[in-house]
Amino acid sequence: MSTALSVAYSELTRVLPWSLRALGYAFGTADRGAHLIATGAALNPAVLDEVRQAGQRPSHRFRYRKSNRLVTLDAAGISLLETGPVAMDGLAAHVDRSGWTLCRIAGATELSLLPAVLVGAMDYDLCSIGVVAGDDTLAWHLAEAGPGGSLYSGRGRESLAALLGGNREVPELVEGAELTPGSVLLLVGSGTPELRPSDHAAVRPREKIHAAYGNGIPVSRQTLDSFYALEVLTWAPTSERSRAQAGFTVASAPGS
Amino acid sequence: MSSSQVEQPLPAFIEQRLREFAGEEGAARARGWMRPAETLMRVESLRCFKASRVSFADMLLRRIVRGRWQIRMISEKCEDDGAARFVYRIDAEGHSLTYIARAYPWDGVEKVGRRSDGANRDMFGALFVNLASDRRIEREFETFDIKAEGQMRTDSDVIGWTPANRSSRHFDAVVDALSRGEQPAPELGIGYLMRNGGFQSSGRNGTVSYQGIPEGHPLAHPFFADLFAIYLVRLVSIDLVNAVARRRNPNAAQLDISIARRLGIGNSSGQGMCVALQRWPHWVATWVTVREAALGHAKSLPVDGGSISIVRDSIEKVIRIYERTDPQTEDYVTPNETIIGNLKRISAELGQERFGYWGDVAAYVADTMDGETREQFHSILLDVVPDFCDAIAPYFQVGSARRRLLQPAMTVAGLRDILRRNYPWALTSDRTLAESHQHFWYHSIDNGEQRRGERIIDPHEHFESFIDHIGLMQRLAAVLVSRDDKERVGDVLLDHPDLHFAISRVQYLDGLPYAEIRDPLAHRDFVPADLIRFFLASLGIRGATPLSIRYVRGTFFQDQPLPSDFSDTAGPGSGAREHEKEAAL
Repeated sequence: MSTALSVAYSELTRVLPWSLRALGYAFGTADRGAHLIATGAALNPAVLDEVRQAGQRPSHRFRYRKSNRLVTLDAAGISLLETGPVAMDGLAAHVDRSGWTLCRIAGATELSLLPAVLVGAMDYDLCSIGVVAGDDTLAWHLAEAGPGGSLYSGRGRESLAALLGGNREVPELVEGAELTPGSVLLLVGSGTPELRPSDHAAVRPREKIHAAYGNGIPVSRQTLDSFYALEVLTWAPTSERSRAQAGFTVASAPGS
Repeated sequence: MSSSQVEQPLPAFIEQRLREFAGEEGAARARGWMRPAETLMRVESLRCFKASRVSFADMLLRRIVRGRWQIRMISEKCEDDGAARFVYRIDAEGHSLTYIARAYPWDGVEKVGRRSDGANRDMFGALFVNLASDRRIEREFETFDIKAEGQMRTDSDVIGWTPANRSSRHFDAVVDALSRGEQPAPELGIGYLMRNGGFQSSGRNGTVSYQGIPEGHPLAHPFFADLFAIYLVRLVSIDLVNAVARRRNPNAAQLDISIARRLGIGNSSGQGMCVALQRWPHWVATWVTVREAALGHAKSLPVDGGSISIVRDSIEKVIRIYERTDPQTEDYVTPNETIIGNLKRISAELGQERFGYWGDVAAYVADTMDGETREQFHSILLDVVPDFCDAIAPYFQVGSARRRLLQPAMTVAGLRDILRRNYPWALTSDRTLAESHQHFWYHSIDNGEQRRGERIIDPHEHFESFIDHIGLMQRLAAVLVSRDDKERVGDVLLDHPDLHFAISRVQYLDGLPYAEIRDPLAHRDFVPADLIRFFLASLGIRGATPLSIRYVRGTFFQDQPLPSDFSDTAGPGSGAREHEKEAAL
């Protein structure tokens, strides 16, 4: 990624709702998705390059079914920017002290947004784990409960198990989910289990977001231009009638 | 207090300050004078609001004057064709920052300053977060010289850009006079030399996000950066006429400071402001809550000699502003002469000792005069409680920081309860006729300018800006009707992801009665200028003059102090203390 520019966090939350609407996302979804992408980019600027590649939203809806403490969601090509947050909401709505609630998502795109989805659980004061299955291994993220918590990331079951120390429940739940490559597993719980971080990568999302507010987020000209190009698709063609609808006049201002 | 008045809940911060100032019983009395949202949050009320000491421009100016901010030009370069480069240094409350201005060669074309003009402006300025190096300043000037929309970008070390345009007629007239060694003729009645072209900040063009302005920075306050930038354009306009005149004639006169002080910055606002108010209802709640709480306190105080004197003095100042404001030309605006006459009547009647409390006076005004006089009097009444206004002003930051956060575990029954409690005005709104939601706001291909179209007739309705909050709430209610009470919000969102905006809005505004504007903005008969005036009053503009139903003009910072009036280097008799009073208008 050539990083000739920086984009402001609030620039993303202003332009992306329109870019996403141009891709077919409804207003409320685009509004939320824009914030999710900005958060994702604050954690990892490369997210923006993946979002740039996002295609038109399929016209159909995603499907899901619930059984016991598991939600199975077939995204059917709909982005994680839409399916991820609502899956998190669906789990967060029913979290209790009895254990983890799970959602398995298949067929979603823009999976690099997964850490940002977990930040949503931090805002709900819940602990969450997100797993993306690859061909040979899996990538995982664990977000501590609470907005000030840490977000850990790693690859492989062993690495996750090491972070969780003696906790065997989570590795077993991941194992039992029978994830296929490209699918995602979300786990949400009421409290953060005892962690044993060693060389695990960790960041504090709140600090990353704060830094993004202050310093912007590196972005390539190509990527930023693509967002603005999408926004322009939502602008109506002009005409004499349209110009009159702006309401401006060329009369002199008071005192001018 | 009338029996129909209902006590409004106050945010904890304001409640605490109120008790400190008025005591337990006094706080209850003040709350009792606060108006119910059912009436206050109607467009009919909000449109009448007038600038006051809790408007942002007034609060900023008081802070500038009290803090003796230093604003100095440190370099100036002006060409024969009117092109110029100015660099300023600002020292404020332990922070130092740079402001630069680039005036382009004068092309003789009057520019209205609308968004569709793109980069076609007479001037661009950049306000930096901190001091900028010479190299960094040069880079910013080079960016300004690109002068092409979409190709100009800055960095997060810049708070914002200040595009502005000359008032060609008066700018030239002043330069001509100064070049001849004369002052501009008073009969010109010049109110400003340049017009604000819209502060481009909080992420626009790569500027720092508002939340990224460091804590403790003097501009880390809602709208302070925007308004300080406009204030700086005012200084540029004065320095520019002086510089151009000197360029023409080394012996040119320089604008007399008493004339310069009378100059403000022209401002034109369009209907995009209505979208902002709908998008950020917690801003609206904050502005109205502070004003209404301060008013409640003022109304609960007895009418005595001291406060009568304050009110009469304020009335006189306000009358002077109305007297020099251009006549109102739109028939939905109360004529200036009517308000002047009413204010004189109020001033006279204050001497008759017929009122016990200021609330009685306000009730009398509300009962016998028009809405604009009522709100003008309310704004004046805040001058009776200046210390309380200052004490609750920090709530502007607290309230504006409120986050729209979803509560996914809330039951459907709980959400419906909030809807029933807070949105009956929306849920019972009759949408049978198309006129109830006839209009929609859209962005035009002319640089994204915000315009208002008619459904069916005009294209791009599916990309409308959010304005129809009543439609949104009715849709949410319709969805919730089909859900079981025990279901959770998170369950609803799995079926309706796009309702996140509606649900989180209902949840985060609960407890803020002054947040939602309780009228359909999409209605055929809604007048955008009504809410533009509300927004401008909250910012602090005086003399707002609608020139159509969608377009309002006015002037910022007219008759306000110049840096030489309040800086540490001001000479004897400069009257910094006096201007501290005047800054509140």
